[in-house]
Amino acid sequence: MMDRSRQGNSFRVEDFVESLTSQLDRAQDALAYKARAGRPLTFALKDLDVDLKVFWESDREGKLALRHAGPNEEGASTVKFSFTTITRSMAEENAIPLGVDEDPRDLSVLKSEEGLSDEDIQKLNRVGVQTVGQFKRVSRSTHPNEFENHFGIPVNNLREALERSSRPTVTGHNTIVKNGRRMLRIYGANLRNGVIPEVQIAGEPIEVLEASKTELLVRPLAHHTEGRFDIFVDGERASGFFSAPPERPQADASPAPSDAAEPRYKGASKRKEPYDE
Amino acid sequence: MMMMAADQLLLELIEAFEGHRSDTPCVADVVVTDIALDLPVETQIHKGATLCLSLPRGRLNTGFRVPHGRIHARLQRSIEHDG
Repeated sequence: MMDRSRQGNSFRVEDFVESLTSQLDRAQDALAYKARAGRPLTFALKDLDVDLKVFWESDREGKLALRHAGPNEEGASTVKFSFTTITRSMAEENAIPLGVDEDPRDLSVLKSEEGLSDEDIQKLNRVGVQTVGQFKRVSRSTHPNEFENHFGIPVNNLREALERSSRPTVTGHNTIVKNGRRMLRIYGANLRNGVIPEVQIAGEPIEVLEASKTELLVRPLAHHTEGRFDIFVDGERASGFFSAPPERPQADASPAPSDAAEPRYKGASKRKEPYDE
Repeated sequence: MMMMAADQLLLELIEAFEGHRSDTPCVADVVVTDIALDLPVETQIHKGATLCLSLPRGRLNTGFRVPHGRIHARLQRSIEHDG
């Protein structure tokens, strides 16, 4: 074992194995998505061995750590990792289905001084917790102390992150025109909690036609062509800005065979919607 | 070639073998079903214990030699029948 420690360049074996497994999981997911995208003859990764030239170190707590060998360093150990059989059908079976997550936002939105740190997010990513929805699901089924013991995330920081994850948030919106009526579809998270939320544009309440946790369909008043909209859920407010063409006068409003919608995304949402209602 | 995350390099390698497919219609098509790769690689462990790899790039400008690890990967193609 080397006593010439290079703090900062070495990693605990358990962290390294978790990280490498997570990398291979990502490769597995990517292969499954390619297969679903209609490429019937794609290769699957069946077996993989990785030989690494490393030096061993131990950290302050006495745990073993790996450091990759640098140029012209003699006497490196060879560590051999073997992974086996990731077939296409297994990859498809085990891949996380797209579109079923209750809150698909990236975990980085929970980053704050009192909440999750970069390191916490990396630890969660390694065990497959990639989105806010998955984080909520794991938190619901795990005692906070257990969470602290396993991930090293203090209970107060976990509480702050959970509180942040449950705040209403707007990630984007579409303007939809149907039978000459202009509507606004708002995307986000925590947009409904039991009862239909109140939505205002420029301080005026507007009609909410549909409401779910991740989507609202609202009808702006005729004179609302742009401005700020506010959504009130359980005393918390989420806001966004919209601009839309004015509503057509009733005389011109003939039923259109296909209704148009103009996507106007703000924030991180990349979701695509069928625009015909 | 730049150092890249191990999963990315694996996907690039797999992609490299997926390009070939005969366009000529024929009764029986011959396809590659298994590929065994045995490659020396430069390895680095980056922030977050992420393994990064590169195919060998030779000696450094200083003349130093970078130690090489190795990956052995077996790729298998699953053939779906057209019916």
